[in-house]
Amino acid sequence: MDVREVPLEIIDLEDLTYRISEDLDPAPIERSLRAVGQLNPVILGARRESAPLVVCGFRRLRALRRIGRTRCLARFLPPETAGPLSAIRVALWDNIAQRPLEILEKARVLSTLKHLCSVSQEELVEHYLPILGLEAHKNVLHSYLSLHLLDPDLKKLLAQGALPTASAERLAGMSPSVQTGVATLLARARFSASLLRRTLDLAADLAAIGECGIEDLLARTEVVARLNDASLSSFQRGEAVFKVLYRKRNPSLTAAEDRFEAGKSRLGLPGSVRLSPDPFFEQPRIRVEFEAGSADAFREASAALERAARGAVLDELFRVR
Amino acid sequence: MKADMISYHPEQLLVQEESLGDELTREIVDRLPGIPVRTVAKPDAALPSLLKSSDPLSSGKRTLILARQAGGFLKECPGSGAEICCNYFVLNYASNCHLECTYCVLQSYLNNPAMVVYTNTGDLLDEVSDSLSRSPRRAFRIGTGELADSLALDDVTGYSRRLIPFFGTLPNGILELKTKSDRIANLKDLDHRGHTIVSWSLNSKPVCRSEELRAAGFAERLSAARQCQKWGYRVGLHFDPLIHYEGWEQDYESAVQETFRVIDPAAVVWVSLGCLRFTRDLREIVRNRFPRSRIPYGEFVPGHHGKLRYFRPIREEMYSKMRQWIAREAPGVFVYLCMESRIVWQDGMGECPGSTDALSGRMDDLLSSAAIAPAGGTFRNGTT
Repeated sequence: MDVREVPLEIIDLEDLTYRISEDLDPAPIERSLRAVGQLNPVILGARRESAPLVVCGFRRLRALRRIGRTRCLARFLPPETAGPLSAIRVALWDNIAQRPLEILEKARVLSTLKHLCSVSQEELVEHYLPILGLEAHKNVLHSYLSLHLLDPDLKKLLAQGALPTASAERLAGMSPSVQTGVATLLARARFSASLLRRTLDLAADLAAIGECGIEDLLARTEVVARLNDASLSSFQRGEAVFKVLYRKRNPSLTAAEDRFEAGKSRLGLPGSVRLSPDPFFEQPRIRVEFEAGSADAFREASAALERAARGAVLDELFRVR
Repeated sequence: MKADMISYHPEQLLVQEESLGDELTREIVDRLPGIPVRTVAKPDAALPSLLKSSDPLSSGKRTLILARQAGGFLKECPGSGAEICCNYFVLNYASNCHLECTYCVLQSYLNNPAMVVYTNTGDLLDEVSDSLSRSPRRAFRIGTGELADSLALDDVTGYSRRLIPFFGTLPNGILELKTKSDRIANLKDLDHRGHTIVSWSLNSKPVCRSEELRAAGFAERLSAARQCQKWGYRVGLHFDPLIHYEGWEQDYESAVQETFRVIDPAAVVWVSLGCLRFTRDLREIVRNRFPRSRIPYGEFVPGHHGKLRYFRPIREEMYSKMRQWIAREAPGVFVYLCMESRIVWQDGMGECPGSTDALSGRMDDLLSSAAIAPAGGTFRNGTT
């Protein structure tokens, strides 16, 4: 094994061909190097006419440079194993021997194998997906390959857990401008996985209906106003954006909901009495619930209901149009 | 203008071994000269290769499978779970359809994307005969347009020439052939004895053009219906699915006007109305297969059995207006709703049948006026 101590300056740190790690500058590596120095050699690939490139150890080398070291311990791949496929395989096994890879790291490995090493789809599915702990199915491969092409800001959000994988996969299939638009949205608003899926559904529908881009839709005044509302938390902004889109997508239904709420207010019932319409007003049915913590509270609620029953507003609540 | 409907012409014909001796198999093979024929053990034999295709639903339609129906042919209509239903029966002589209507439920319903025609016609006729003779005082309205178009393949299968005379001999059976095609040549001169209703699924002209891609055009359907009237058939009309879009009123009103300018209302036995309904899965299929279709973008809410439907006031408005236009153009023609609730009947049609039996009985009464009542009484479910 050819292990040497070499100056950092002779290594081409800009060539990221075999990079796997998503985060190139994690603090723990720097702390570890400061505390006990470099424990394991990085792996370099020798090149005839240029500086050796990094196969494994991007993070260690960057950290060493950051903390002012000038030399590193390096192992050189023998020339017969320095081809792209051998090199990425070394990088892959070196990484997965140490830690589980994250989604985007798996995506990067698969992309490198496919595009740099020309590994066939069949081999990627049958051989490499299981190595990465993934189901051996072509749809999984396509999904990961598309994630690799995701907008950089969306990648960051995915790595941070602010963008669910399912939505990331969906966005990966959309145009760069849509991805940028959604990244802008997610920079100011947070969504649960379910709410984001529904929000994207609505945005896609409205864009199709209005024959515009999703990014144009998300840049409209009423959406931007919600995103810029400093009185709301980021999750509240997500809810508010969803509501804007929901109302646009369901104008008749939301008008009926508004009429129902207005009518309910006019009934003047105490807060302990809850009225709710049949789901989506499919039947002219109203569910009435109330709670009473005492006999007096019970009497108050039932008296309020009796008063409501005598008014014409109640009839309006049963009319959906 | 939409081009005339093109005859069905598969790329390959697969014949199940058990079907090889069936008369219908021989007839169909003879009618499709030049089409490669292969024998398969089971109808599903084609599945692996079809599913490899980038669009199995499209490529499946280019494969015609002749097979034996191992289960029953006659079933209650799936709509029978609705609050008000018409007590209809379906007779599945085939499955799948090549007319490529964007909204077609078969896209998400059938496991096998190929076209399948069942060749054990004797079993089919025996099953119908046995079922109807077991309940001689009950009327059976039976349609073949549930899992397939009733006539789109008729120039290949000739099924109508078997079914129509057969139903003519049944005292308590009415056959309804539902179609979006103009393949009526086989119906001429058949001895139907008033026991066959030929029905057309109609829509507004823009919907016919943009969403019913390989079906006959609106005018061709009306022309075929008129011809059937001339041959003595009573005709049914199904404005289903009604599609809600900007300008729908004008388009549907003119569709109704034109329909009754061409077709004699006196020989129209019924008109049904039904608004678009589909599952979430189907909606995704439509989006993927037909990206230009506007159908997935209506204002839908989940309804009966989780199916998506237009928000109730939209449906009620569509039914109400259609009812008025039909009443104006064809006074007295019976109009009913398919798979709707009491409240929608009431608000959309201004009246509601008391029950499923009441609706069914009303439809049977309409048929009895054609002097085809079962022995011993009028053509009415359970009351003769």
